[in-house]
Amino acid sequence: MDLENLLLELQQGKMQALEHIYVLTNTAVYAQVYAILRHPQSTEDVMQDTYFAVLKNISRYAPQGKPKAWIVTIARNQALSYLKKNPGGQFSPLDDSIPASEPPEDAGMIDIAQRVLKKDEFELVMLHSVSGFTHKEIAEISGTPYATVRWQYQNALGKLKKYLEENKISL
Amino acid sequence: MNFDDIEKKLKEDGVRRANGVDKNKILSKALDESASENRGYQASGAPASDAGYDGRVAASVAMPPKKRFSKLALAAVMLSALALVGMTLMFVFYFLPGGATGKVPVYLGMQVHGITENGDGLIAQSSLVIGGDHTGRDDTIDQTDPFGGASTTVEAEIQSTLGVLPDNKIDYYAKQNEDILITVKLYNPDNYIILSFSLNGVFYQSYQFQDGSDSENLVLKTNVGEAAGIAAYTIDAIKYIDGNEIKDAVFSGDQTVKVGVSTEKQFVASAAGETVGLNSIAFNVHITDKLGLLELLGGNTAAVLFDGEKIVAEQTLKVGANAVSFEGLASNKVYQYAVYAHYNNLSAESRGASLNMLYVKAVATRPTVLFDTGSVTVGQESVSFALSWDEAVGGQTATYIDLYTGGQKVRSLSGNSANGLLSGKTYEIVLGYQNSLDIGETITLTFTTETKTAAAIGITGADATRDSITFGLDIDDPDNVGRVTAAELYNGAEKVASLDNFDTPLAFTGLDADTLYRISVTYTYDLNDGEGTRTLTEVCDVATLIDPIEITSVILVSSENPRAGEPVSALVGFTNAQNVTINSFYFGDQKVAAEIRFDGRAMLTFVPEIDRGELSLVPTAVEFTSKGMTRTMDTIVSPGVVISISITADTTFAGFYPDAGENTVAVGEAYDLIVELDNDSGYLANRVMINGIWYFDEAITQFGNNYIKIHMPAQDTAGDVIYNLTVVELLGYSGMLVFDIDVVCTVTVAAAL
Repeated sequence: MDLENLLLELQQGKMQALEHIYVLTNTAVYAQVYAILRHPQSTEDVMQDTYFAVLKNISRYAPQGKPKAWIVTIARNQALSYLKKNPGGQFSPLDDSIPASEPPEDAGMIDIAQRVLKKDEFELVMLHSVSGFTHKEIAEISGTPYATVRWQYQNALGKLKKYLEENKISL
Repeated sequence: MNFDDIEKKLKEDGVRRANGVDKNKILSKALDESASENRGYQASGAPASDAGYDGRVAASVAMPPKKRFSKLALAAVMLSALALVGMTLMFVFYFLPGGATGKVPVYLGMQVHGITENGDGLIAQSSLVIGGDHTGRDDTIDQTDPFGGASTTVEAEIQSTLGVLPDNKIDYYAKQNEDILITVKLYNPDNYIILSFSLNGVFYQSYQFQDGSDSENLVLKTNVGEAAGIAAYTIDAIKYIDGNEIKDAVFSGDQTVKVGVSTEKQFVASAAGETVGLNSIAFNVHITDKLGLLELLGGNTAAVLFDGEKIVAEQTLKVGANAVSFEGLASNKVYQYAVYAHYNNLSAESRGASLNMLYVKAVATRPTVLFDTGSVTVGQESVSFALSWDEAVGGQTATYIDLYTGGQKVRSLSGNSANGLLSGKTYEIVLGYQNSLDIGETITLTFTTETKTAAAIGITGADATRDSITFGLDIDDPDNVGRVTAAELYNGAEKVASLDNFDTPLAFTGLDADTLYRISVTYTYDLNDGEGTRTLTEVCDVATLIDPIEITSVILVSSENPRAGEPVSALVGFTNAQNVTINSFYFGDQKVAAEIRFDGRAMLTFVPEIDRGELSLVPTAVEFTSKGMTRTMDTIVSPGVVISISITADTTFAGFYPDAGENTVAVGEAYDLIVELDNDSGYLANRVMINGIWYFDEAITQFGNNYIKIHMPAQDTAGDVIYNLTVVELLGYSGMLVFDIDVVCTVTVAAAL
């Protein structure tokens, strides 16, 4: 059963559908929330809020062929709301004005991307590479023009590639 | 390594992280919170029994295969992109002018940046407006926290319901008059020289490109201008130089970029005409969208009603005038209504659609009945109150009125007052009534009766004779809470007398002489505060006197006419029937220590405190010690014992000179000489001797205390006359004071002036 039908089942009160929905969307939700908050524990907190909001608003869901975008948009709103409630919570030490620091040896690719890329670029990479959204879908979610998304994404991967090569980090 | 490898690693890392999150924890909490909500899932009509998810049940549900992000799809997208570029390049090469060997520059797109970053924040700041007509109960509502620490807010509840707005396609958000950088991106592998490009019909030459430009990045600085809204920049020609020819680059990317130019308050709401009923809240709101952003970029605006936990009603609004009405509400309950707009306000902060709170206000629906706080009168032992019934309520009758204190019912009240209350005590009056829906409700009036002031007393004017003690009382009892209940006299621990009548002055009589007594006065009072009566005891120690000490003789043993500051000595004889220890005698206010001689008389030696005049040497009072108590009492004087001395001040000579302006006089002109003294005692001048001649009576005039004018006869001949002052006599209190002086002054007698 696809995500759209699972959401409709949840709308009809079949709560078992929630776990299926989670399995199908947790990576995308995690990527979207982490892309904004960049803090693992806060990301988990907002994931809870996100699935609660999905339940809370399931009656409002109308099939439009974009079920994952609907959930990820909720996740994005929740993350932004969380960020607003925690104004000092710029969780990552990363600042665009500060040169990227050396990532730890055991850093995953997301850690490296978080340190190398600007915020917008990092969110874009997370949504495309991790969440699996197309550039067009990302453009709709983030309110950014499609051409800009595509261009920024190529730039971001270029930055990552250059960083990996310069630091002799093998994949 | 290539991009695919990086994407693969990112995906793997993301999946690993996402799967590391405790799924059951996430879902359990979501379901728990959902179950505690009054709306949401259950409001959709789903059966409540299905809400009972737990991880164990869920774990048994077969999981569908994970939807893997389609690598094929990605590849297809990339192939499509490559195909597009490839076809474009093929097109370019095919149509290249003859002889051209390089690759034609291809326009790929544009980017927009700010000169100064205008913020990385993603959240718009809400414009919370608190206002409106604050009347009645609104004054009691804390507009900043109307629900007293509610776990959620109206803004948060609205936020959770917002949907996805259409793509705004805004490349950059700028403020009015902000400088921006537009970068034209080219594919220009052969580094052709770019000559110019046309943006919105205006040609920009290469010299106008900004630092940082190169053959594939043409950076142009421009200003977005004053006008708010969406500014579009369209590129329609790029010229480059190929050898000796100027050629056009090929366009492949989107030729337009859009910049959102924001202003403050382009979307505002003004509310008025608020009407709050027993079960309804209505108001008018006018929404202004100055830039037409709602129509241009999508979004919605609505009014919601929040009860502190959830949104209980929502009404969609339109730009312009709206009448909002929320019905079916509970009476006497605080609600918060809000007007919001969810739209792209073109601000750099929000960078897209965001929630904008346009108006928020908390009000309370009318209560059926209230205590009219303006008519509540609280006294020390009573309270009276009036009720204010809503006109819409029929009957307007309280079903009961009960009086409570400390959670315990005191009694029921039959009217709108209560008497016989304790003072300084907090009470509650609970009034039961039927509301407009004929449902029983209560209202409560909490008040504290005024306290009564504690009494205070003091013993005043305690005085003793040889056999009696009299005293007065100073009672401060403004609320008349008590009275004197005892006035007793003690000798040590033994009570020797008590009074039945407490009218002042109070007196104990028939007492022993030379005895220390303690007066004890008890005041008993009740503040009516439930703590019972209190007693206040004030004491005062007083000793009775001894037999009178009579002064029988005074013998002066020093000068009868002492100068000021000179010691005086007198031998004083006196009676002492109780043979008490005599410490001192008093001459008026001056206390003089007594030196008791072997014959029982006392030698008194002292320096009088006065510096002139008569002083009686008969003591007026005596200080003595008996039974450990030191007391003072007046003396009595035997007939004929009268003696006094006269104290003179220390008078001195100060000067001798002609009167003012008379150093030189004419022949035949009379003149005066002046003798100046320091004569604070004011002794009278008797006579003075000048040049061996006494001048007195009419020949001298004393003015003030300190000046004696000597009238000299006129001289018949001219020349200097020398006067030698040798004696001044003054009349003292008890004899003549004679000053022997030897000083001269000169008067010049002129023949003609």
